Amino acid sequence: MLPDFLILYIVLAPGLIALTGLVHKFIGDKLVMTLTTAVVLSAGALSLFQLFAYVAGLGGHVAGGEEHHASLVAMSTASELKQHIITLMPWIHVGEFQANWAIRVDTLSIVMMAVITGVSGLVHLYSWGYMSEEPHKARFFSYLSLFTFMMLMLVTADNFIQLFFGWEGVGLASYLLIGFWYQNKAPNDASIKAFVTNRVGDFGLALGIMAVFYVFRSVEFGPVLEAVRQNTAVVPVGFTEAFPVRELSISFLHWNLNALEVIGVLLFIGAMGKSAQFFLHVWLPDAMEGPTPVSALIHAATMVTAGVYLVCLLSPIYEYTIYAAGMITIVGAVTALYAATVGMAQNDIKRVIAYSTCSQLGYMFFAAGVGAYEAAMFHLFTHAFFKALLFLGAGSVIHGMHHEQDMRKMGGLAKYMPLTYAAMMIGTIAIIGLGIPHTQIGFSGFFSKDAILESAFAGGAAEVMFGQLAFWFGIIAAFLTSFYSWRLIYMTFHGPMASKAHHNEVHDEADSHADDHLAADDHHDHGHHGEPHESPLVMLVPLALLSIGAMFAGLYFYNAFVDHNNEAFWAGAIYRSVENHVLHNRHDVPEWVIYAPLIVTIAGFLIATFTYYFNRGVGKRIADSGGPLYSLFYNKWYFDEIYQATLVRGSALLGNLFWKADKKIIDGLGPDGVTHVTQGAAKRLSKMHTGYLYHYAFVIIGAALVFGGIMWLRAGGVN
Amino acid sequence: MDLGLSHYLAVSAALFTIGVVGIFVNRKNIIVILMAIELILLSVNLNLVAFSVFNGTITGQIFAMLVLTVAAAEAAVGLAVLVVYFRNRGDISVESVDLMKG
Repeated sequence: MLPDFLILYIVLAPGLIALTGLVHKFIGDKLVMTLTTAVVLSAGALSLFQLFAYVAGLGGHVAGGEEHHASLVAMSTASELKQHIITLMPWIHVGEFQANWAIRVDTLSIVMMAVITGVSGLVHLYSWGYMSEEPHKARFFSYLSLFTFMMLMLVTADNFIQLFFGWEGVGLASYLLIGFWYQNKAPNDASIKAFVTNRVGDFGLALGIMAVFYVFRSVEFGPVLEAVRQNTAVVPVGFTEAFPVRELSISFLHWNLNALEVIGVLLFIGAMGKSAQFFLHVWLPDAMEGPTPVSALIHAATMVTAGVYLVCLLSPIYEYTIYAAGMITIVGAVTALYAATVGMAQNDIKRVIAYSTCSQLGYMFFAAGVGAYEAAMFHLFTHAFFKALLFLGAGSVIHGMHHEQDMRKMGGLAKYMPLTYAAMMIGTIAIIGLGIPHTQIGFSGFFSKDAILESAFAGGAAEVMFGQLAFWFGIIAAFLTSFYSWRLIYMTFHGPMASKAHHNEVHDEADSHADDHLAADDHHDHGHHGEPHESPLVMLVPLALLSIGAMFAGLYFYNAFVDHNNEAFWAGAIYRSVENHVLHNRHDVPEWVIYAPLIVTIAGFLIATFTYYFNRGVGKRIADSGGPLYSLFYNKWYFDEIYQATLVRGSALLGNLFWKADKKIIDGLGPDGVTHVTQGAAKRLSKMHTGYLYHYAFVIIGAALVFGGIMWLRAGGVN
Repeated sequence: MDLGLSHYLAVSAALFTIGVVGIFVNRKNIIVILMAIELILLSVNLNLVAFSVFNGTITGQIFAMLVLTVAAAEAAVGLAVLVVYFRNRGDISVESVDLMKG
C-alpha cells in the first residue's frame, strides 16, 4: 500500500481541485481544465501503481496447482482482514452513533480507486477533444472532478454514513452532468428522472442503514461486519437481552423477519437504484442525454457499479441471508436478460451501449447473489475498461459525425475513422467475452464473464436460490450481447453510409432505401455538415489506453481476482462463509458449461453478420414490419409507458388532490382567510381617507369640540 | 363706554370662528387655508394678551410673542411647500389636493 499522504492525495485532491471551477472567471477555463486533468490523471497513475504493486506484492503467496485448492478452504476461515484506516476527523459522535471521516484502504477500495481515478483521468483527457466546442468547459471539468471525489468518498468510507454521503454526492454529480446541456428540455427531464428514480433506491438504502444501527448499535463497517462474521450476540435498540445476530428476528411492518434478511433487502434496494437494476433501471438509458464522456465515466464505469461494490463490501451479511441473496440473483438475472433484449432493438448508438451496461450490471449482481463476489468485482473491473472504451469510441463516432447518434444514419465509417473502428472492435470483442476455454487466451470479458457463468452454474448445482435460472438467463443474455454488439459495429462502421449521401456520390445507389421518415428527426444535427472525420489525438490516446485494459486486464488479474491467488488478494475484504465453495466449484462444472458461452457468442456473431453485414436490409425489414416482439423490445417493454400511466400520473393525481384540498380548505380557512378579512376591512376603512384637507380639519375640530364639551361637562357645566 | 375683557374675548371668538369657517367653506385655494390658520392663531394671541392684562401678569404676553414667532415660521414653511407643490402639480386648488385618498 502507498504511504498515507499519497492516499490522501488520491482521495482528496480531486475534490479540492474541483473548487477551481468556482473561480474560473478569474483564472480562465484553460487553467481549470489543466489543473483538474493533471490532478485526476496523476491520482489515476498513483492508484493504478498501487494496484499493480499490490498484486505484484502477492508473489510470495502464489502457489499454482491443484494441491493448493485443498488448503484454500481451510485458509478461508483463517484469512485475516487486511485493512488500513486513516481517520481524518470525527464527524458525528452522538452516544453510540459514531461516524468518522475516514479513508479505508483494503483490497476492495484499492481496486475501486484504480478503476475510478484511472477511467476518470482518461475521461478528463478525452473531454479536451470532445468538449472543445462547448462554452462551459470549466463547469464541466469541475463537475467531473467533483464526481471523482464523491465516488472516492463512497468507496473509501469506513462507515455507512460516509458511504451515504458519497452515494448522494455521486447522485448529485450525475444529476448535474446529465443536465449539463440545461438549455434543452430532454437533458433536464433526464436529469430529474435519474434523480427521482435514485431517490426510490436511496430510501431503501437509508432504511437499511437505520436498520443496521437498530440491530448493531453501530454504523461502522468494522464492528458490524465483524459481528456478522462471528455471529456475535447483539442487543438491538429497545431489546433487553442479547441474541446471536444471525438468528435475530426483528419486527418490520408488523412481520417478524430475520434481521439480516431485512437489512440485506433494504440495502440492496439502494444498490438497485444506483446500479439501474430491473424496475429502477428506467433512468439509465435517459441519462445518455448527457455528454458522452459523462456516460463513459459515470453511467458505465463507476457510479452505476457502486451497487455491486456495496453488495460485495457487505458480503458477510449476504453470506448469511437466503432470500436477500436470492433477490439479488433473480433481479440481476432478469436485468441481464431484459436489458439485452431491449438493446437489440435500439437505434441510438449510446442507448444500445447503455442497455448493454444495464445488462452487464445484471451479470455482476447475480454473480454476487450466488456467492461469487470476487467474480462480480472482477467483472466490475474489466467491464470498466471495455465499457468506458465502447462509450468513448461511440463518443468519437458522434464527434466525427457532427453530433449524429442515430445508427441508421451511419455506416461505412471504418474508412473514415480507422483508429476509432479498431478501438470499438476491441471493446466489442471484450464485451462479448471472446476467448478460448482452458487456455489463457482471450479478451477481458472472457475471463470475468465466464467466471460469472461458471459460478452461477456451480451455485445452481449447490442449490443456491435462483442459481440455475441465473445461469440460463446469463447464457441467453450472452447470445443477445454478442448479437447487439456486432449489430452496432455493422450498422456504424460497415456498409454504405446512409445519411450523408450528398457528400458521397460513390454510395448514392445504396441510399435508395435510406431515409424519408428519418429526415424528420434530424434534430441532432447542429448544422455543420461535412465528411465524417477521425477524432483528434487527445481523444484517441484514452481509447488506446483503455484498449490495452480491455485486452489484457482480464488475463493479468485473473489469478488474483478469482483464481488461485484470490484468498491472498482479497485478504478478507470479501468474506465467504465456510459452506460457500462456489468460486472453487466452478472449476468442476461440466465441459458443456465451459463451452456454452463461447458457442452462443459465436451464434450471436453469425446471426448479426448474416442480418447486418451480408443482408443489410433484413434488420430494417424486421423493424418496419413492427412485429409484436420487436415492438416490445423497441419500446423497452413499455416500462416508461407503464410508469407514466401508473406512478407518474398516479402521483400527479394524488398531488393534485392534496394541492386542491390544501388550497381550498387549509389555506382558505387559515392564512388566506385571515388576510382576506383583514384586507376587506382595511379597504373599507381606507374609504374614510378622502384626501381633502377640509375633511381632516373638520374631524380635528369636531373632535376637539366633542372632547372639550365632555371635559367641560365633567368639570361641572354651567355652574 | 368702558372696554372690558368680554369685548376682547368677543372679538377673539369672532376671529376664531371666521378662521374655522374659512377652513371648511373654502374649496378653492390653499393659501386661503393658510390665512385662516393665521386668523385662528391671531385670535388666540388676542385672548392671551387680554387675559394677561386682566390678570396683571406678563406670562400671556410672552406666550403671545412665542406664538407669533411660530406662526411666522409656519407661514414661511407652508408657503415654501405650496410653491414646490405648485411647481410639481401646476395646481393648488383644494379640490385637486387629494393624493392621500384611500
